[in-house]
Amino acid sequence: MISHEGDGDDPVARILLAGEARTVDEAEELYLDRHLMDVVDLVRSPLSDAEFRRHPLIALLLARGSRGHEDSLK
Amino acid sequence: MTSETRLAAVATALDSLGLRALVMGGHAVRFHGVDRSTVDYDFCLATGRAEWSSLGDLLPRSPLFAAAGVIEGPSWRPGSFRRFVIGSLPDHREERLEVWRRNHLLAPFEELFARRAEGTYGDRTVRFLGLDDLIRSKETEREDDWRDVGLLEEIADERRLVAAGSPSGRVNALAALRSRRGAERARAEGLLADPAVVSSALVAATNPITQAYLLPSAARAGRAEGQGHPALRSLESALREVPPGGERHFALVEAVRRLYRRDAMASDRADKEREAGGSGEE
Repeated sequence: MISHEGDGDDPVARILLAGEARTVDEAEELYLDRHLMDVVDLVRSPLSDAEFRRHPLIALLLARGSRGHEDSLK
Repeated sequence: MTSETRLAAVATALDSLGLRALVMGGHAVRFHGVDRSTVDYDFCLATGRAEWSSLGDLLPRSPLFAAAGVIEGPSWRPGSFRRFVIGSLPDHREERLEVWRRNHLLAPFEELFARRAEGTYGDRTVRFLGLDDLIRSKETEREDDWRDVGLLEEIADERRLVAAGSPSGRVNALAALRSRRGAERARAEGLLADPAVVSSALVAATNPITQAYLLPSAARAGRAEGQGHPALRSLESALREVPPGGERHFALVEAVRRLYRRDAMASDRADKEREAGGSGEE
């Protein structure tokens, strides 16, 4: 079951603190791999677009994915 | 001598030995427009088995390779890939020539040659892998290669979108869309507005990332569900439901991209392990 608001704390930090990854990069990859299919539930959820974008899974997935035009202008 | 002129000299030396070659790897990435550094010289070669076997003797016949000597390094698939130290760089690192006779990710040499890119590099005309073949060659188990893939996809999309003036050009550009920047540009230019055009592109598209970009904009009848790449199958229903071009759509595309990459990395790793285990073809 996924949380529509995110987990309240940082899931990547939790993975690091649990010693499951050595670096932030590894922890982010692990988090994404474990929860990738939760994206479908989030897409179908009643979250507003802003809430959807703020969810840790979506924020991380998009940040580590193909960059948009706005990213190239920053 | 710059890295580019040295690469061009190596390419010329291979030519002088009668070896037809296409540059791949980091120099090809640079040629196609990505600003990144590289020190290795990577080539696909057209050679028969006998010529391949005698490569260590053949290379020193060129003055360029003879100057510093040629020392063969280790290879996990010597029947397809060989590595030679051909000198040392100004910072004393080894200068390496890496050559493929058959690359497990790529089509046979003659097909690659027909699709090659050619242009001035260093101080002369050099032949490179075409952009789409170069992207395919980078779909390996190495994270660094996927960084190149991401940037090359943007360049490939931009080139195709610039040439998308005609109806066939539009279908061609959409049928190979791989980057978010490309998808945003295609939308901004109205290329995704006609469901019939998008559906034609979807039928022609072979990559699941492209299919994920196109599905929400395609006519419903454009493609039967559940027949695509495994990376797409589990997300296809959701892709048909989302409004095109929004964050929900792009999140699903990125999920498909990650599944596709995971699959490609596992496949490349398995191939390498097969070769290392001695069950390769040679």
